[in-house]
Amino acid sequence: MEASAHKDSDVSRREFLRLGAMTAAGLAIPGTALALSKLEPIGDPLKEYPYRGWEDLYRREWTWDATGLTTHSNGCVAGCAWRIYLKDGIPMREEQVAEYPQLPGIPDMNPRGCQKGAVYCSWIKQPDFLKYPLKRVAARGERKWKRISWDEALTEIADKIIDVTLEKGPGNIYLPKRPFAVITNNAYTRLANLLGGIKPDVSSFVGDLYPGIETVRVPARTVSTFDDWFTSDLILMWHKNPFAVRIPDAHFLTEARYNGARLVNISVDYNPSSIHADLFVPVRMGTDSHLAAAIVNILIAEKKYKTDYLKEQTDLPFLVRTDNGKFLREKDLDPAGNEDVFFVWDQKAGKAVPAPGSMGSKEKTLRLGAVDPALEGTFSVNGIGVTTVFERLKAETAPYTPEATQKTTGVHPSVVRKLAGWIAEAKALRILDGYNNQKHFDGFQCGRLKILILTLTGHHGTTGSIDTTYEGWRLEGASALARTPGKPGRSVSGVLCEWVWGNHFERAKAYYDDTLLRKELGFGVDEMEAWRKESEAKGWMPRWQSIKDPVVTINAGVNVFRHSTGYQHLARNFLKRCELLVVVDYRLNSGAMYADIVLPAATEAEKLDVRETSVTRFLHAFGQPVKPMYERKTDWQICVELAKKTQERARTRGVGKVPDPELKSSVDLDTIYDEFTMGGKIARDEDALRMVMEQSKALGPGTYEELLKKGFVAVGPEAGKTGPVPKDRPYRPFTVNVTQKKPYDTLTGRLQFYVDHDWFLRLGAAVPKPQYGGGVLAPKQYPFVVDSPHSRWGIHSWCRNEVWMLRHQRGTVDVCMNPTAMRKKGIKDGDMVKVFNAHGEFYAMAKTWPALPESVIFTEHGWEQYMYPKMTHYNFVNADLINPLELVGGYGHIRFKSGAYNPNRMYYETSVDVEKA
Amino acid sequence: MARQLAYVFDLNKCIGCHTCTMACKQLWTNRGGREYMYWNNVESQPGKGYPRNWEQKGGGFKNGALQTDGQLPGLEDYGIPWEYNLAEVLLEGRGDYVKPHVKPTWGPNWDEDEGSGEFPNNYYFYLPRICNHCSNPACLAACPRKAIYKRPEDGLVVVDQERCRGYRYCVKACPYGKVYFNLKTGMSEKCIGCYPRVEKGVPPACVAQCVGRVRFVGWREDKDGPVFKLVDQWKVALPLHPEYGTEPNVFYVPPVHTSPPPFADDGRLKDAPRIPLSYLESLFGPTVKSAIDTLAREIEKRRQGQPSDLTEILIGYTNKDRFRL
Repeated sequence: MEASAHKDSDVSRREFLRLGAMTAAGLAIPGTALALSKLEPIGDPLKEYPYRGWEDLYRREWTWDATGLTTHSNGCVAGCAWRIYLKDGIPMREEQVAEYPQLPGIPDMNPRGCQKGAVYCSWIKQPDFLKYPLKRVAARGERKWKRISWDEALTEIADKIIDVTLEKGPGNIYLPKRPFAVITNNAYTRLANLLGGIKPDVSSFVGDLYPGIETVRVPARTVSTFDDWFTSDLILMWHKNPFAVRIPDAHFLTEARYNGARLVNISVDYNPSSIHADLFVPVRMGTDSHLAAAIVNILIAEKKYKTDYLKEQTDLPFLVRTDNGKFLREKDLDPAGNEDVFFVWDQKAGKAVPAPGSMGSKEKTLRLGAVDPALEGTFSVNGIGVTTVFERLKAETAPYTPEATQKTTGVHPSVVRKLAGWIAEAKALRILDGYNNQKHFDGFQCGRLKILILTLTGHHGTTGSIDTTYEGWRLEGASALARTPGKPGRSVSGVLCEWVWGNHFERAKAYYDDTLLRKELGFGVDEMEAWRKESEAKGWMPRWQSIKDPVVTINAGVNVFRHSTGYQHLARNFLKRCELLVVVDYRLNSGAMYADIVLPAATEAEKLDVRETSVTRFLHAFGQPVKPMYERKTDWQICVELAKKTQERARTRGVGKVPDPELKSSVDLDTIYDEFTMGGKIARDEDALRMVMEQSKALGPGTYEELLKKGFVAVGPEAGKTGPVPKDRPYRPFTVNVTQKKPYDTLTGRLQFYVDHDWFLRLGAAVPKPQYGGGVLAPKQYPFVVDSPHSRWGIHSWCRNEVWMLRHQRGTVDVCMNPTAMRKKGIKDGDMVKVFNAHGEFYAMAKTWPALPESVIFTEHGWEQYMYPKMTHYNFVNADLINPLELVGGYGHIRFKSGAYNPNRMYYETSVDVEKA
Repeated sequence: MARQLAYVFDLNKCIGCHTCTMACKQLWTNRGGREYMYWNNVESQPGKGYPRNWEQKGGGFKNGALQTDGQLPGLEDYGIPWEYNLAEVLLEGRGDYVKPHVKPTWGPNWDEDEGSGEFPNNYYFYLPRICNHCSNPACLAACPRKAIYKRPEDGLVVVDQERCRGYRYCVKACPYGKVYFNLKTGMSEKCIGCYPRVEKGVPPACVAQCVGRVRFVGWREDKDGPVFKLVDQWKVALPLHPEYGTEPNVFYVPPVHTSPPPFADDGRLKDAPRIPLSYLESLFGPTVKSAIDTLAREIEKRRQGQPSDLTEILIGYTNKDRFRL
């Protein structure tokens, strides 16, 4: 084998040399002629050289005739200002703007922008980038098209929209969209609202919700600006791999380390963040909630918690009845009392007193005054036995000692104790909590435990933060752009939509071992389905997926198939319900292969828009360095023109107002363009953008111009959703709750760790603690579990097929395996392998990765289906599960909310086998 | 005035994102026969690197003598720039899936993140590499045409694109594998240190666009610059493979090799370096230990709340702190 490998590379080397020689010979004559004119002798070229006129060759390559500004925050939360250099009107290359101002004592953020932004100008020249509207001319998925005109495309879509609305009633139009640019995002919201369309929660169906943390604070998903990382002295990277996937901000971590901080990486694999850590904690897949519980256990047992902070800021001193596990409520003591007023035990007065700040309390403050709540103890109030949330928490986490959890997590107790010790002594603790936590079934409880760690030690809202990826800044102008009074559209959980329309219930039934689920969870897939129906019947979760169909689906910049577990199963079932699938994108993604009509959207080099991600204090411009090329249109214009065509066709066909009694509303097809454009006021992209900027308190007049001139603009103090954005310091969320004693938007008005909803009580989840014994819930007959997190080489599917990116990987889809596992399976690096179970398979090149434990296979997400042999996909081998806790509603702040609370997709309850293909 | 442009790359800050590579690629090498070249590349170490096994390719100097046994890497050692059948598959409905035009067997980042050792005690780090713009360049010494020279005003080593005859002695001689042969022009090409930018006071693209803020650039002689301070004053930045004898002007801050600590068999933390010191010595020479000790000492000082001039330099708060041209 060795010898033949050598021979191959020799052949290639010989060929390379031969080609080289041929080319050189071809050029020999003009080269010689030129050299003859250079007769001056050359001395020591280390010191001097006479013939330097040629140097202009390279100087000429660093030239341009125009520049423009844009960002590539499309699917990415980073937000980076880029300058595009144009030659003859063509985007040639980009460079980060790197002109952000510095805050005192904090490293600045220059330059911002990763390798993917850097190659964008090459990417958009690939042939998969769309130029014209296309119509399918063969079966769905056969990838045969004809070019059609915009007028033909829009007419067909508009007529179908009108037909469906008339025949089946409003609500059978489905509009999933990519929410990553303000104008683009709100264009589709606005269109969906006016059509009475279904708006799925995109965060839900890609598994990006934080429902567990949403029970503790509102909003769950919020962050410091990432420059705040520099102020921490202990940073836990937990379910997040920022060195690979938060590239523009990773320097704040290395610089924090130089500033005295310790970095800890808690992960299944020894990933690119682990290598920069002071401590690596190799936790077994799916057991993080047990590790978190062990840390909580130590902090409580060793009394390493901040008592005063907990008494004021949390519900831990709240009284809970010992008979039924419910909070003690005013109503328990007085039939006329308030349901949402709760009690603490005042140690000074020796009696229960109402806690201020809850949803039912008239006192909108956390200030306790003279009251000194007991954290611990059992008491009797009017004959009702009560204890505190803290007591319950202490009792229920007591079994999770580091010694007891070792067999589950695989982490030695001495390591857990070292980590807990660091946490206890930290002056400024931060947890970076990525999107991977909730993609595990126990992510719900694990999320609650992680924020509990930060809270017990008193860092939440004071010296630290649990950074849950990002939030958008508050922009009233953006809300105004989407607002369609009296026409709310139909929000739904993305997971529940696909559960029903994709028959995921059926797949889950077949996929999971019901005996195992019942043993671990106490319930199986049938109960999940029954609970889903109960939740919908009670009005907790919207039920549109159960009574409507995605007859017309307009996929705007998302790929409804790629992100779904059981990809092939969803595609098959969904497409049966969908009569017209329109894909709007700037390139042919793999979902577009199944489309009936494909519309070409403007790329990031061609659109006018703004990105509002809150990982920095800056908004970023899509500054339209060039006008849309070919027949591309901006998303805003696509929506405007679709509305226009719909209005035109409705009027031609004599169609007017279609009643929408379910929403107590109507779909006004004959005036939809007028409504969409506010009577023509926001028909142009510039108008929409100006409105967003000028109607937002944190921006205002002049910011539109500044944004387009510099590529970025700083937000004012009002942009923060949980407190002001300071001028001279990084933004940190939830500080006003501590400094101004402002109640949190939770039922109890506190950071809430106890939920006495019936379902939580029934499922033993009233306090944060592991929901089951830990580990992956997939069937045990397969030896590997699957990890498919974010990649450094793409933002989801964005840039995933970019050729320079592919040349820096394996050139084809790869799957990483531990070398020992490969040896046992007879697999060598570079082999094509089949990854499979009874429900699906995919093919990929095996790559050796010693950073993995033997039981895990790793394939970074975002690959397009068409990159896989046999058009398979990594989402062919998994299936959905629903955590019933995420179906709960009707409880204070725990209720359906798009982007916040509803079932979250779980990818990691998956097991497979692997063999050489 | 003879000056030397010099660089420091801090490996404790490098995140392996390859933004430097792509910045260079888009500016210089995405066209015209340069496609396979990465004037700037980032490789996972320990690893085979780019071009494959460059550390074994030979060249450089031994006891002051130019070595003439250097090898010419084959195209596969650099990685064949794969092309894809996107149009055929997606627009024409032909082909079974999108794939490269040849079966991939090697590429410039093929062994990404592999490194050495076994989980959970494996280790790797990123090594970004450009032309070292050496003070004693082997490529220059090897060129029979005298078509390679050092620019007196900045010390950048360049190949005259009119004089070069494509003999490739320079490709053989560079022990770092940083001179390439352009099949289309029949001449050798290499990193030019972005001299058109440097002439205008703009840092090279790979430096200016480094989002990990790993790179420091300035004049080797500038006693107030970060390069001088890190190399000469603090002695924490070292040349790669000093034994090759070319006197590089790129210096590396070596990775702190003791963290995160590895594990004993029972899962306890082990009081041992995760990256063997001998491995780092094989890359950066015998003074690496003292460089790492200095770094560790200054980081610890900062942890204790004391000031450290060294960590302040390495933080490099603004572009002005990292770039002095």
